[in-house]
Amino acid sequence: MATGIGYRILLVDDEEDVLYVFRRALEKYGYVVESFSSPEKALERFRANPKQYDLVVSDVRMPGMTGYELAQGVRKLNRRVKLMLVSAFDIDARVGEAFFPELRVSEVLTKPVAYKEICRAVERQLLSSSSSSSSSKAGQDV
Amino acid sequence: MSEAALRQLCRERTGLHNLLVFDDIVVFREVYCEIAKAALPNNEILIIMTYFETPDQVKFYLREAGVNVDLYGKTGSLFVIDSVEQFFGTNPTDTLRFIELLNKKVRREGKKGVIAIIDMDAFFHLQDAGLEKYELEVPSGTAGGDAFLCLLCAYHRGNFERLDPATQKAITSRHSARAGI
Repeated sequence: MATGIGYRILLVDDEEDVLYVFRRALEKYGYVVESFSSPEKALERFRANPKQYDLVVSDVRMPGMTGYELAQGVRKLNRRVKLMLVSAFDIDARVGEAFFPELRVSEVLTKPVAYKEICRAVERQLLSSSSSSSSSKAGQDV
Repeated sequence: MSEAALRQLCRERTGLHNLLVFDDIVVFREVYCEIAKAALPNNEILIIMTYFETPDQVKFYLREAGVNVDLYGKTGSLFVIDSVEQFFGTNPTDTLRFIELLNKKVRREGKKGVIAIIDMDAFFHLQDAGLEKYELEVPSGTAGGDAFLCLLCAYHRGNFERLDPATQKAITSRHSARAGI
């Protein structure tokens, strides 16, 4: 089960219960997860050490800063980190593709997401990340 | 929001263009449930344009509050719509046109009026998506006869306070009744 050992994930969702479930699930798989209910605080944390993270997983519709805005901030600091968005709205994936293609979001998951599903999605992203040697774990520069 | 402020807001639903700035989605939920419970049995049409909650979630909370969602939906009295789909979807409906059509329905079917609760946070979804223009264009007239049109523009405080002070002031001044400011 511990496929995630060594990978660091920044997890953002304004719903504390969702954050808790996702965090627990990912930690069971061995990932190091830093979770934030505030996207502003999450970005501040990311800014402090942008090379530290392999993946950012964020909700889209949050007050104060949308997931797209968070992704823009993250992308400015690290061009290679993987980005995954989660939303309860189908339209958000289309909006992302149409209006924010430069973000290069790897995947948009539709809520509700079963914990196994998010773990599989994260694994997919990080395995493809490893194969393309783009993660910070692989020692690449941003 | 205090219970008194919420009651006041519900009473003032017959105002023309009201503003709600909420700190928590729970407050917004409380507002739409209270307005639904007051307006729908009173032969009014209610439109809820949601942002943080899906239309299904809104319907769930309305049912929890005792609103007969299926009945009012079937009779064309209750509409619950994702505001991003409404404003920016692949087939966006001109909201003002939509409201005008409902005004006609009001007159045709003898309804008392239309209330639209619009989560304006959708305008932050695409950044600089014409929020001010929209707020300035919304009608402030009545539906004609004894019918009324009431708009309640709702903002999460976390988004409203992202606007520069001049824009906040301009938007606030466009609304007749304000809560949570």
